[in-house]
Amino acid sequence: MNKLKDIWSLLGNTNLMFGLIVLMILDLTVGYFMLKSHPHLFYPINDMGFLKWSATYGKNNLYETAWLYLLIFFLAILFVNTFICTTQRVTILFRNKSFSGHKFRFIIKLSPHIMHYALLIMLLGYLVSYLSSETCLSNILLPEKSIRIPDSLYEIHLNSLHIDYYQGERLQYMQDRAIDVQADLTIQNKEKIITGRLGFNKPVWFFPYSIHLKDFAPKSKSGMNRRTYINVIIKKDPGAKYYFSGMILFTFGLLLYSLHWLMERNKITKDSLLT
Amino acid sequence: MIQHSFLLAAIFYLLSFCGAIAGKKHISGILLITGLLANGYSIAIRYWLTFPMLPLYQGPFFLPFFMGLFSLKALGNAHHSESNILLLISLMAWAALFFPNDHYLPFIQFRTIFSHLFFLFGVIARAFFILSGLQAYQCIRKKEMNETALQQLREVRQSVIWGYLFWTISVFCGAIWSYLGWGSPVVWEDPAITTAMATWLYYSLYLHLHLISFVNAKNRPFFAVIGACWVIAFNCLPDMGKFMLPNIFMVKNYI
Repeated sequence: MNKLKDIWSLLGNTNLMFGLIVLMILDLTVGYFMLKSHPHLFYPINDMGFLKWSATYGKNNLYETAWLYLLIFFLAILFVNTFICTTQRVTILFRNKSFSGHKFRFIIKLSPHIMHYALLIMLLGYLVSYLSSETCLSNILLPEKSIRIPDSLYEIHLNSLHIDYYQGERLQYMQDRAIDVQADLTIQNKEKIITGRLGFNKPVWFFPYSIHLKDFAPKSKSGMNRRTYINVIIKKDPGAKYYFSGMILFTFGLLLYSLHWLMERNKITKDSLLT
Repeated sequence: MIQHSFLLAAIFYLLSFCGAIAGKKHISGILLITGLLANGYSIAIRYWLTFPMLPLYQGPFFLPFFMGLFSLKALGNAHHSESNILLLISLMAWAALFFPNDHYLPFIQFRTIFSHLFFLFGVIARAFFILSGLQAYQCIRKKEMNETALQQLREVRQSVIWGYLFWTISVFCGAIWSYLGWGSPVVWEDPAITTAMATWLYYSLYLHLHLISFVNAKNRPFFAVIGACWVIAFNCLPDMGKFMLPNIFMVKNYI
């Protein structure tokens, strides 16, 4: 029992966190130079998912990709460390009776812990995403034509495509080039029909998929008359809701923490600065 | 006009620094404000000529503006040695002028509020981090821990917290933008993703330093200085290009 307690307190130690973050920064610095010199090795992670990437690019280029495996290892330990450390402090905070009747003060004191738990949710979301997301690239849709989403009964139909070409004078490099694209889609299977308008940065969602516009033609009014089409990415990412929930929660905690700092900054004494 | 106004800003920043060295505090302040106005005009035009797309990789032209803006209040304080800040603002402005990274055509994926927040908050955060490093450097130079040094310690922490807030929101906005545009919160082809993460981790660590048993309060300013050096090396310099004489210096343009 004592041994378990020792392991628990060792894994939740803040000095361990210090060491881990320093190692992660060094590792990421190596990663920066590896990504800069070999971007083609890492780009496929998004398309293939981490497991398939790891079995191909990752395994065959271990010298260039080892930093990423190390990063995941450090992140796993940081996850455990953050969970234990935060849980210990939250337990103490909840046992502290001095906050009774001071709900706002209690929430403010809770803000760093909200951020820590939010970080854990984000990391879990990324883990789920990289282990189980599916990406279907290069799906060409022609007007009034349909394609089927692989391994599903869904069909996507491109009803119409509206392309706005820039006609103003302010953006000289955009003259006669497309500035906005909107594609009206119908997605259907045997049970339901969904319609949506797809654009750049405006995906169409239908559970469990999302469709993202990757490319389109024709891009300019002048020049060769190219056939009209859109190229879409079809994504199934079960982790997205977790990492975005984590981000929202983290931002909420961070705003509370900053508010706390703004309220308390003039009350900060010499002792609190020097300890 | 963009380059002329930015050159004017760089000249005013340099003159402001000279004024500070000469001990002419008021003149230095007026020159700094004039520089900020010229710089603000230059970046407003830059934005106007690209909006609704994003002037990405033009952060170096924005950075001196935000650094100057955020240090205005601090420069008014009697305990500040303003020449350090003005020297850095001036150096940044001249570096942006001679090492531009301009040759980049915006694309339609830039058309979202998240890309703009990612860019602007990222620059603002860098400005805060670099300022915190300078404030920390001034703390280190102080031999005794008097009220002035304590005030500087407060300012270091305050700058770090603001920087961390903006950096975090910038990173999150970048992730949302990446997801909306490409279907993934991380696009694994830009090495900047690793340094952005490392910066975030570094300043997360900074905010935890009071919990670390072997780091005492007197060592903390060193961490802020190292952080500022890291930000300059890995978050600012990669946005710059190769040395290039700006068009306004080309004699042929005036013949």
